[in-house]
Amino acid sequence: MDHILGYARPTGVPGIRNYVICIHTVECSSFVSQRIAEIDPRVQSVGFPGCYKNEYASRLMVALATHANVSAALLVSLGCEGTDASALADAIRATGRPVEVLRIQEAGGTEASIAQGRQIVARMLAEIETAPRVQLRVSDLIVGTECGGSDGTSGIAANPAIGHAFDLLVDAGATAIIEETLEMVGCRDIIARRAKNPDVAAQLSRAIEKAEHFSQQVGQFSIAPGNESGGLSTIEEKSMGAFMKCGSRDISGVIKVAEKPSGKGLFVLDSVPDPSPFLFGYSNPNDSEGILDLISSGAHLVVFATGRGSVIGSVIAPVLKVCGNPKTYARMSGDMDVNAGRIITGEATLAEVGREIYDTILDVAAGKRTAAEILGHQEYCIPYKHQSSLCANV
Amino acid sequence: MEENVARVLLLHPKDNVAVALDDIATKSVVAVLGAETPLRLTAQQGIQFAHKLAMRPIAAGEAILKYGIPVGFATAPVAAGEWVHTHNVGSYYAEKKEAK
Repeated sequence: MDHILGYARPTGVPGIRNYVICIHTVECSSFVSQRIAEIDPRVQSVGFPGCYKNEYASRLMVALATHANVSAALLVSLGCEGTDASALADAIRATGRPVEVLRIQEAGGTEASIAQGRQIVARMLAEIETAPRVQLRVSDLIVGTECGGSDGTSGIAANPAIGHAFDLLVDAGATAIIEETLEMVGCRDIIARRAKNPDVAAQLSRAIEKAEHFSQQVGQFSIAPGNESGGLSTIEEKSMGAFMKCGSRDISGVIKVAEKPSGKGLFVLDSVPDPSPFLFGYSNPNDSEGILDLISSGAHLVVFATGRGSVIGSVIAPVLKVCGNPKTYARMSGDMDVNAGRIITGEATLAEVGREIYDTILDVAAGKRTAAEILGHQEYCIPYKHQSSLCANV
Repeated sequence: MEENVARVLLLHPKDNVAVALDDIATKSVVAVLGAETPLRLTAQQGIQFAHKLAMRPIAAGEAILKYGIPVGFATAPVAAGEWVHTHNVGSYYAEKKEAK
């Protein structure tokens, strides 16, 4: 494929989108950050609500600011929060990207901060116009997958069709990431057998055991009332369906949030908190959190499977939605990019829909906007979490 | 296949449940797709699209097999053609289900 023109970055892989992002480093500065971002559709707003510093969230914000789809970042700080905006800026600057810090208390409040922030962002926008365009190959792409609103169709339509597209991606030399180890609960041995070597098998087993232990501890299994109404009876039934999204190729490694895959091939992203005195409530509080985790690990775009129906997109990376339930598709087609319900009605085969997903991934990488992008969705969620940066520490 | 026969999909030859591809009416005959030989079954009750139907009798405590693997166990005896869901299935992992 030679029709994908990406945006070259000073370091790291080229992007498929070209955004300036405003990052609030505490909830107190989120309003000002959002108002600054309203100036232009190429500016997006994201951030962490907590005042007390959280290593995980700081690492995640730096990863987002230095994402391939981001060209420049403005950190919007209140001025007294625990997160050190200057330290984040230093880490971002080290990647060669333009970055500035705006402190609301110093700038003189809401109006002055919005005005000053918009001036900074306008300068950055002028600079991003000059980002050189480069040819991207399929093997340059990093693609994530996630599901939400699963039902009894998920495991037989949308997810295996995405799995087929993932096999095509991996075979073409791309990097593919599946998240949701909480939805691998119940399938540990089956998944560990997919590892490319015994080390990876051990990493996978540890990550899934951690998810099982975490689930037991907080009494939370990743199954919602809507999953049950949709025909899924148990977490292990949902897990098998969810796991189909990653296709059939060997798993090359396990990564953690904000960690980049070490090479090409298929990777599993462990987003579950590490054992800690602080459980910080629930893991994977919602689909947007999982999507942002994938983006923080470098995903250029995320393929999202749904059965019950979902409308979300994301900041920073396009979200391409595949709906496997023909009834849902009929009701919500304006939110969907691919209709995998045709597998259920007998109008298309798994392989045909898988190929369509693959082709759509390449089109979106080449600039085609997804339904969520057209509708303006820019969801995100960054919760408090305790997670070390190294998989070896699991 | 006749237009008015509801379909269920057998995902693996070992499975003792199949997934409804259409809404199924009580006591109606359903066509099983994915079976090695053409197979029909009578649904014991109304079963919603995307829910599961028992392919054969399942004893209490026996594994529910889908995709060829256990995805839970029967918490009560299940007759062939019966709806299989949270009212008669427990999870091996989630304790709340085992308490039934």
